[in-house]
Amino acid sequence: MGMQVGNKKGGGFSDINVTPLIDVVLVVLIIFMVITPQTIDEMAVNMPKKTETLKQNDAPVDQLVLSVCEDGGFALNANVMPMDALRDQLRRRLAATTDKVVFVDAHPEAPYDKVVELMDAARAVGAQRVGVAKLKDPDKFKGCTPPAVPLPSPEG
Amino acid sequence: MVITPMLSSGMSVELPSAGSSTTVNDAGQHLVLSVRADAAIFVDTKRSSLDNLVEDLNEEWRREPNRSLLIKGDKSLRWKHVHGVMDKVRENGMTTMLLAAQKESGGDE
Repeated sequence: MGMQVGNKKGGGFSDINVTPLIDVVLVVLIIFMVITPQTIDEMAVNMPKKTETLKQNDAPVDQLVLSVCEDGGFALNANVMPMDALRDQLRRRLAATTDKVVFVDAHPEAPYDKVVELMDAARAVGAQRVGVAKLKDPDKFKGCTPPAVPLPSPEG
Repeated sequence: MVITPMLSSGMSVELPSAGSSTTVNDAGQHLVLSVRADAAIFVDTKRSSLDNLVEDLNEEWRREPNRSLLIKGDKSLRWKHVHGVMDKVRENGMTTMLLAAQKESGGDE
């Protein structure tokens, strides 16, 4: 009694030799592993060139500053607003500018994914350059508090 | 297929998601700076620190220049951690850098 090979009727029919097949499949697998590196998504941001900062009054009046608050909320020029409203306003105000630059200022404790979400939204509504503001001390961060003293009105 | 994700450069971190980012092939054209959720910093896969960061980055650039810097920050990080790293890089004279993100499924814009 030997090992039975082939089917009962065919007599001399033996199993297909699968070794070359496995060889080829392994090689193909390795090729796919090499040519399929993980893709990553990226966004370009700009850091201020110099350490000395622009004084608040030196900034152009139409400068668009986006802020991320400590709790993850968003603000446009220190006015806290929900993301949808911010997108709309930013889109309109960006359309009126020529340089399409926005600055992102975030509270030191603000969640990083919210900052990325904000940069992403800014780029989605037309900002071409996203600048990063200098990191402020937590108690000096004013990005989410509207200025206590309103800007002098023309008649005042 | 199982080990492919490990071939990507840098350390593995959970990236924040973004809809408007551009997809690139992560195949060595970037110098990857990873910041893990515990704020540990890695240059490529080498452990670094805020103090040694500039040194480590320059060493990498000497080895292979003309690579842009890609910052992979974990999404649970605080802004100060990422900004601290970006600040160090800026001190080194590089003012444009890339932030890594994950493609949002069905970006809204």
